[in-house]
Amino acid sequence: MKTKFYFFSGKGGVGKTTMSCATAIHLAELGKKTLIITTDPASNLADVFEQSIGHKITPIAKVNNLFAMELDPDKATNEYKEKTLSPLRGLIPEESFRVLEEQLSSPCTAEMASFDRFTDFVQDGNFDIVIFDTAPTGHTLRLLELPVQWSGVIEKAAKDGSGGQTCIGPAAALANSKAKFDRAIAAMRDPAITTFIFVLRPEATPIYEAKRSIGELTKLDINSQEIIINGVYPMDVCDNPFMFARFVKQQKFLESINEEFQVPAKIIELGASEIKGIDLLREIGKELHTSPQLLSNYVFKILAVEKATISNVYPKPNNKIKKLLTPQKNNKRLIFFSGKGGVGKTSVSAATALWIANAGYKTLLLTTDPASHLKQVFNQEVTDKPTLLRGEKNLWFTHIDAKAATEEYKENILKEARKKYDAERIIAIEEELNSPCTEEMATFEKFIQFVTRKDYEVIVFDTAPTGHTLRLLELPVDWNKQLEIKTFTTTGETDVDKKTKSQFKEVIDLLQDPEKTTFSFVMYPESTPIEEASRAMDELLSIKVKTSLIIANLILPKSSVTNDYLSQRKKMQEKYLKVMKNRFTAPIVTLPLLVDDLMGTDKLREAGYLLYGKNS
Amino acid sequence: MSKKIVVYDPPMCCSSGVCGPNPDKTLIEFQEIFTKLKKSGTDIERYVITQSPEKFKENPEVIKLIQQQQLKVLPVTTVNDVVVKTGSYPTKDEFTSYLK
Repeated sequence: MKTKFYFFSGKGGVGKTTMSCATAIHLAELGKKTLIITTDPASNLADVFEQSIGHKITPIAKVNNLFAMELDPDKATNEYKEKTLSPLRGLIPEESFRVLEEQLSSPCTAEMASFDRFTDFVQDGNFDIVIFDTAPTGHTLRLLELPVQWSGVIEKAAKDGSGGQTCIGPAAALANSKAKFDRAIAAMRDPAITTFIFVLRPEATPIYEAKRSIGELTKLDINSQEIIINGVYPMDVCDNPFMFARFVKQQKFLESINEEFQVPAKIIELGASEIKGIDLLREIGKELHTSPQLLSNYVFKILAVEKATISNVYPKPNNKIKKLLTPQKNNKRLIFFSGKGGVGKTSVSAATALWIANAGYKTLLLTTDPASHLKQVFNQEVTDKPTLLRGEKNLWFTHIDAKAATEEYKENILKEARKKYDAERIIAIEEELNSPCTEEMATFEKFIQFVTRKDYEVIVFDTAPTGHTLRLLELPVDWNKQLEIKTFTTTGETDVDKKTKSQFKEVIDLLQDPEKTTFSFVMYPESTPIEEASRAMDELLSIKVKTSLIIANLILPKSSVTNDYLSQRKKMQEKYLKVMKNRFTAPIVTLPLLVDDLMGTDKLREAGYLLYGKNS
Repeated sequence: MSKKIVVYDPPMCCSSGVCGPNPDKTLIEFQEIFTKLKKSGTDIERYVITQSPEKFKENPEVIKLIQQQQLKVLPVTTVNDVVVKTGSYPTKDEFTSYLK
């Protein structure tokens, strides 16, 4: 029997890991030899199975036939380096060898190395079932685009004899890899081998994300798809106006999923406690795979909408918090929002940016998240040039569009090159620029440009999910090393290199200065987001960046706790809020669970007041 | 007798240097000479140390030079496996003289 693959996808925080683990446990206990792999840099498989896993295939103690692996990009890079450089080990001096190792640590190599492992698993025959608990959407799609891109790059380089060089090595050496990539794509396209499962919640953003991903996959000719709708409220617990209003909203979203998606969908209801521990996961797995509640059979419970009147209490404005959000001593202020996907980073970033702008500061909101939904939040087109928010005086917003940035980067290089070289050479340069590494480089250059901009008093960054963000921030350090290597070898340091180097230093200095930069984490009070944020904070500390603000989102309002189910959830939240207070030194600001999605200026302004108080 | 020229490159992401933060002029110019020679039928290859380490291993002369002078000895150019230039890329005229 051929190995069967399941890819779990969806916006962060929708319960992707829960659903993939539940599936893994269920299939393993049916006697199938099952492997679950996460490619998410901020994975929490270890928390789920309550044992350490790491970057190797590890048997899970509590479940027969189940194995897990957390694919670590750094470790994969090291393995790749080891594999590449082994012919020279011991032959050349230690000093030179170290330089080569460093050189292979460039950001492109990390991407390459992770992918190398990923394709290995796709053709591995040792398991009956391989489940990928994939990284959040944007990242995943890039990963999936890679085989198609690389394959094309390799083919072209081999054909036209222009030196046969690509960014990842001479074309000849890649012939093997091409066959491997092609097999990976073919496996993904075969519905007998691969199923893609989208996990989403009945909310606007995850639905939008899923729709986009399903579209992208269909474009890549990958058609075996399923949906799991997670976190649906049982009707009987929505016995107060607040919960009832949320329930009605969910029902509407369920209806629209039913109408708009052509893909089979299963429903999982929200339990009173968080899904933790093997037993609960086993139950979910069994439900999903033996007696799922299908959306096509679901009886919609749309009732007359009662307008919920919730009186929100704003906190007293707090000077300490205000200082973190506004420029101090004529400096400008950079504010980064980070955290596990789905915790509400974009909403909190937008509400915060608006609050600051309304306090009279010229503010720019920037998203570096390839899967951002800023456009939906503002109901206004987001471009790669800052745009003034309709009806506001002080708030501009923009995004880094990787594709556009890459084009611009390419064009800049080619413009210079055209002045100096003949057409033949230009074609060769153009081809080299088509390598996927260029995108990483171009995005990063844009990020640097924004960080060092002087024309805004405050810049709020709605960053990409945790692991990704960290890599972006660690990049200046990496590139600095790259430039040092260049100096060490032959070409010498050019003036342009010197300029780049000093710009990177400026960025690192800025990020490390708490007077100029506020690093904040958004999370909801449950164990996974807390653990992940905590790990990310430690990593930041290792590059000397301190976290100075924490936002606790989705706090159940006291007035809405009217039955056992809700008071159980409330108790769980209180327990974890206490954990947060004990664990983190930064001040914690809370945002209550709201009836509506945070869309539009009025709701964002209200959320700003709920977070930081109303400016007098 | 036909001559075989090999250029052993220092570590870099790709042969033109356009992949790095700033494209390198020297590299672009050399790649241009290289492409022309290759197209005109010259037996010429180039190997980047981080991409084709096994090619370095195959030439004891090149390994010896690295042992003595570290990586700054690269690029190294050989004609029929004999080292003819180290530390920088040959010019167009130098290539012409190698091929005589």
